[in-house]
Amino acid sequence: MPITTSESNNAESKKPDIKVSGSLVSMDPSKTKADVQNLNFWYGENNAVKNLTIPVADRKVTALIGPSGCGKSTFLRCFNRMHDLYPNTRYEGQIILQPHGLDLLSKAVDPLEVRMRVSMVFQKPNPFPKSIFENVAYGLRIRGVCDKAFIAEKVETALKGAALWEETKNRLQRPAFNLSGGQQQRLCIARALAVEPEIVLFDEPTSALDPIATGKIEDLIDVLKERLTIVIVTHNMQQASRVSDYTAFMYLGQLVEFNETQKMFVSPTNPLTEQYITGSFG
Amino acid sequence: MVADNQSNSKNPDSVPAAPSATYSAGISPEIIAGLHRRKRWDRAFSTCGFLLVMGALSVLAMLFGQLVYEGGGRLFRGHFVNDEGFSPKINEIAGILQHSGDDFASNWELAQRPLTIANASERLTAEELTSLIGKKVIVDGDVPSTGLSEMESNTIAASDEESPKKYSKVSLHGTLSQSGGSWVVTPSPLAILPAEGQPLDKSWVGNQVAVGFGLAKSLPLKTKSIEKLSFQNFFASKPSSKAEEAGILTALVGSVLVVVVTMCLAIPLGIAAGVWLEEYAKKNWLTALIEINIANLAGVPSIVWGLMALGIFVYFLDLGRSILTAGLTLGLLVLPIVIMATREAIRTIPSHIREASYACGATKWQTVRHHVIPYSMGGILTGTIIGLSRAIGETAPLITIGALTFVTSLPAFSWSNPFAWLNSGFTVMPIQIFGWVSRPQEDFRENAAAASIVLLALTLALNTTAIYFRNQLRKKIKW
Repeated sequence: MPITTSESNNAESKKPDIKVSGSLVSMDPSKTKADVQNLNFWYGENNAVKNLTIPVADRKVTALIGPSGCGKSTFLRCFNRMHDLYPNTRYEGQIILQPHGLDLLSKAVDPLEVRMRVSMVFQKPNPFPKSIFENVAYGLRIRGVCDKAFIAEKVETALKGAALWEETKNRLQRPAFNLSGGQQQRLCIARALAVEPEIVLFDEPTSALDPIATGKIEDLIDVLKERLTIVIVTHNMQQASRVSDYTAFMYLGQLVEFNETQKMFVSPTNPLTEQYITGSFG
Repeated sequence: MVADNQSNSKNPDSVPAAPSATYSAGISPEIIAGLHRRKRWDRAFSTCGFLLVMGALSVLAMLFGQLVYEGGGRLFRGHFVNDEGFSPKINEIAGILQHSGDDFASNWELAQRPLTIANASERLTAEELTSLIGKKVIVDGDVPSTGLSEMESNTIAASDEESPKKYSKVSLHGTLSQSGGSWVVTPSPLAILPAEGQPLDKSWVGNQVAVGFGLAKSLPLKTKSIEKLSFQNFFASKPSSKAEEAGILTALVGSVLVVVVTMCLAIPLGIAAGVWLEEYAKKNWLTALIEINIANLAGVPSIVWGLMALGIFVYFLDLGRSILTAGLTLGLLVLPIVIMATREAIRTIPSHIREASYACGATKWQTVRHHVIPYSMGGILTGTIIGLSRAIGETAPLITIGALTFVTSLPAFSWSNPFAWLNSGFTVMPIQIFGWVSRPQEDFRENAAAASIVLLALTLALNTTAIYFRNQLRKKIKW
């Protein structure tokens, strides 16, 4: 498609003159769940996330948008230290988890602790090849919970929270891969919810789903934000405007603009943001 | 479409469409010509491939057919042995006990099977043989106590009923006849009189027995000893200097025991090493070196493994030429195969499954135990069994460490020392085959062929099991 070509051409030509308007929101520190401060991330020599500073509001949805390769997924995966799994990666800066001021990126903090407090839902539905019940119970099992009644209760709560209980309550012991794609993704959400995280990360959760399944997931996110902090990466402008309260537009690893979603989509301050959300590139 | 084809064939410039396909009118003849040119390669390759595969299959069928032809019959034959596992002695006659009447003290007869005299024409001229037809003869030679219906004779002579030679396993008394060009001796039933200390009863009727007569020369022959014989097939027989009495029992047991030791070493170590290399090891020059070495070790000629094992296990660690040494040697030989299979299997697990586990807060070990190992088990199993079927066929390293070719006793087992068998000498199937092939007597080649069939069947069974388990495990896993 010609659009893709123009995107890459744009990316090359626009490189020198990104004007960063940065964060246009000043947030009350008591209302943030996490504060990203001067975050830099390297894959080897490649500085994939550059000097990022944004607040993540408590019990709100923060959307990360931007063209492919702009570093938004990389940024998202800093929140649960997913990059620690791979060699040659390096963080700089801080992500401060409020209200206790824990720096998620600190070497002193165990990435396992971070992942126990920050759950993640991936782009492709990735249930384990186990039963529906075991998928949801997995987080509890690895924490050493053995009380069967307690696990069953938590699984039910999580499945209800992911709007999957009615469809699966009669076949909890069936393999998870028998579910449809949308159901699998909601199962993954239930798996993330079962351990009662503080933040849930969504990495393009609907990009592999049909519109109806996408709608269900979006409705779910709307409900979840009442009790959880959500950070979502999305390629879909409409989705960002529908589900999120705050939006960060990233380009070539840099934060271009961060604002309340309503303001960002109605009156972007940065011409690049405007071009992106009106669809003239990206 | 049809009309289009016809118009094409009338026009000399256009290319006739292939009979199987019709093309619409809108496409130009040049494109169709080009298409045919391109499809010609498809047809050519498909034909060549089919012929090659069929050729290979028929060669394979010929090889198998030859093996089965040569050794297939031997699998179902065996020989008769007494309770201690010995075949009849030289001064005994084997046959079936028959009885008539009610008095079990007498009226017993010993019936022998009719036997073809393989080399009759070498012993006597045709005229002499013809003159003996229907007459009583004595054939000297080893009367087989097996399922064979043929014997080699040393001498053939007319029998003088009044003064028979000693009745024993090396002479056959009977009537000579000719059937289908070969000379057959139908033994006359021998009336026998049970010795006083050994009364016979109903249970002996119809039994295969070995009877010793001592120096008895007149009928009814007085038995000196009599014992029941039982049939022992190829699988249950131990090696023997007589081809017909030799079997693969000790080799089969040896192979199984050696493979058990091999498995106990190679499977846990191989899986652990594979998992460590894939999941735990940092990618640096050391692990790169280890990886290259493992790949190379899998290609080291097996005789070299044998030499290393001889130096380390036999001489340095002084483990002797035992099952343990053989198992360790083959274990080391199979280890790189298991490691590589494990790593290949682990690599097929998509990274998003692994990430899902870590994202739930699982530790590395939990991820390995709950996900990596279970999901790669099918591949690991397949690789392992392929390694084992290689181990079962290995000969060279075991010869090097000093496996025996003639083992007549099974490894001892006792509950008081359940691992004593590890230290006993052994032989394995390939070595038994090698031993038989290298014998000068032609009869042993039949044994070798039969043992080869067993070895092939064993390998096939292992591989089938591997495929079955892999399919079973794959059914449960989808991503």
